[in-house]
Amino acid sequence: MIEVQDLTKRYGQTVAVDKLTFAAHPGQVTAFLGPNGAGKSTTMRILLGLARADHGFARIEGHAYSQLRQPLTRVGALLEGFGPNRGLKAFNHLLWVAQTNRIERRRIHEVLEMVDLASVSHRRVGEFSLGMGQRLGLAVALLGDPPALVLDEPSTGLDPEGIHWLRQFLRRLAADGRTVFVSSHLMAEMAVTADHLIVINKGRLLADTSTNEFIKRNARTFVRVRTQEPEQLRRQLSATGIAAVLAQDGSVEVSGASAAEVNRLAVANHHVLDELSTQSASLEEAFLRLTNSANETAR
Amino acid sequence: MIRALVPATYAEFTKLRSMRSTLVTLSLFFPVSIGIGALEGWSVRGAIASHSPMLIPDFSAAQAGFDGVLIGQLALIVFSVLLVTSEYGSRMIGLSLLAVPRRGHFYAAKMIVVGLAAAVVAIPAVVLAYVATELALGPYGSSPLASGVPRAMLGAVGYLTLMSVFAAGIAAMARNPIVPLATLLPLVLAGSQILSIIGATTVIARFLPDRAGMRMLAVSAGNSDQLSSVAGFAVMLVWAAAALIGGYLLLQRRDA
Repeated sequence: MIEVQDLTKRYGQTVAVDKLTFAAHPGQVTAFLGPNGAGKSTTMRILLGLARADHGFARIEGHAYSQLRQPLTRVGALLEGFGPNRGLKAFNHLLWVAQTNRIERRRIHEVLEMVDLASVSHRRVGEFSLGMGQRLGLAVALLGDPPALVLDEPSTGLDPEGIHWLRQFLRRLAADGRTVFVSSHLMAEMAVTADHLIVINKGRLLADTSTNEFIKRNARTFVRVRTQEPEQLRRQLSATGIAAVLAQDGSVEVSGASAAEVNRLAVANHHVLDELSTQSASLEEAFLRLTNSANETAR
Repeated sequence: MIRALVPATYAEFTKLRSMRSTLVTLSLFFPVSIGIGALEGWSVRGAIASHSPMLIPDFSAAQAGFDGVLIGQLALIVFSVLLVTSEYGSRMIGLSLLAVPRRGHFYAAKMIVVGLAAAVVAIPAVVLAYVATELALGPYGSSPLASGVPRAMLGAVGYLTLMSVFAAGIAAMARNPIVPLATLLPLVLAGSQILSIIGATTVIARFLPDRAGMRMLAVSAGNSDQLSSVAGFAVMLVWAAAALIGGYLLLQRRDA
């Protein structure tokens, strides 16, 4: 369980995080979304005791990070830009991390297997690709077998195959009953993985909702119809209680009815249809709409 | 407190022995100290034998046995600076502080490893460099048990350890290797020597870390212009403590 309450952080005049409140629960993948610079990394760094909040608090399993004993066994973290020294071998990097929290050596081999790096564990980190470095970061996060994970943009540098692997991996971690809290600036990528979404921009909370709810509400599906007499069709649809609007391009957009229903009504009214199609607005569009509308109110 | 430091100290030691930069600079301390010592002994032997006028009048064979480690200390300084700043170049510091959130513990563990590593290599290096110098001096050489020499050896180990910790503290404040290396290396090599000759700065130069600290290596009591061994030790201790505290305060205050 990860809780953030009324969290505020200022850098000079800029408010990076603005009275943020939310929670991430065990057994779920909670996606922390927002465009670059929205305040995600700052929030995560405060959560992990690397930066101080000006107001409010962030807790993991009921404690501030700095109060945790052997913190890596309570929460694992992957933070952007906090890499190992390039001169270290992967195994030795995991070794020093393990030693700080009295984690057994055996566990190092386990996590190396989990992220498919066992065969390159004696190579220096400087020789690793971006994706391998990212997987090493995940191995560090998992080293203490923690009940909670905080991952900042874990898909950075992964190829499509790697992203697919990461999704399965995160799902499995949540299925084990862990709290998985993962940030991303790519909405659609996370929507298929996450159970719950926290969306922020300019440090403010924009949405705190289950993924299903968000999709239902935002990923609008509608039927597009083109005919010679659109206004007449629109009135006929409205008369039967089906919401229909005239679009700018002269087509009729119908929501709340299937293409078959629209077709039946059109035939009954002797319309010749030039187009009848089902359209769905993507989650990415919904996400952009959400963050953009926040931008406009901020101005 | 002590028990909490043990795991963090093990981890810092793992970093030391796993990184090429720190391992290489630390091991360089040996050949440089012993090699320079032997080279000096050999060249001075020739100078004495040929009654060369180049030889300084107050040459002391016993004191010359410590010149090797004074050059070797450059490797120790680089080692200390690199062990600290390797955290920042790669921003590994974030991970270090995640693993050891109490910054004081992390810092103490780092400094313990710097001090211990310096002391552990300094003990054999000081003895071996002395012996190598005296052997190279041949008939003009002095014994390791000559008056004042064992105490000076102890002082040398103490000086090298304190110098390493001082350099590490400066590096913790700077967070990059450039500034500490660009100030410490010239200072130790030549800077304070030059300052000590210029009349106006003589008094100040006496209290610079390397000038004062070098009094710890003195085999015999110096003249009235110089600090005593004990005073030199005290001044060096103050420098090291100041650098340590400075590094600690800045680490506590900064966001990682």
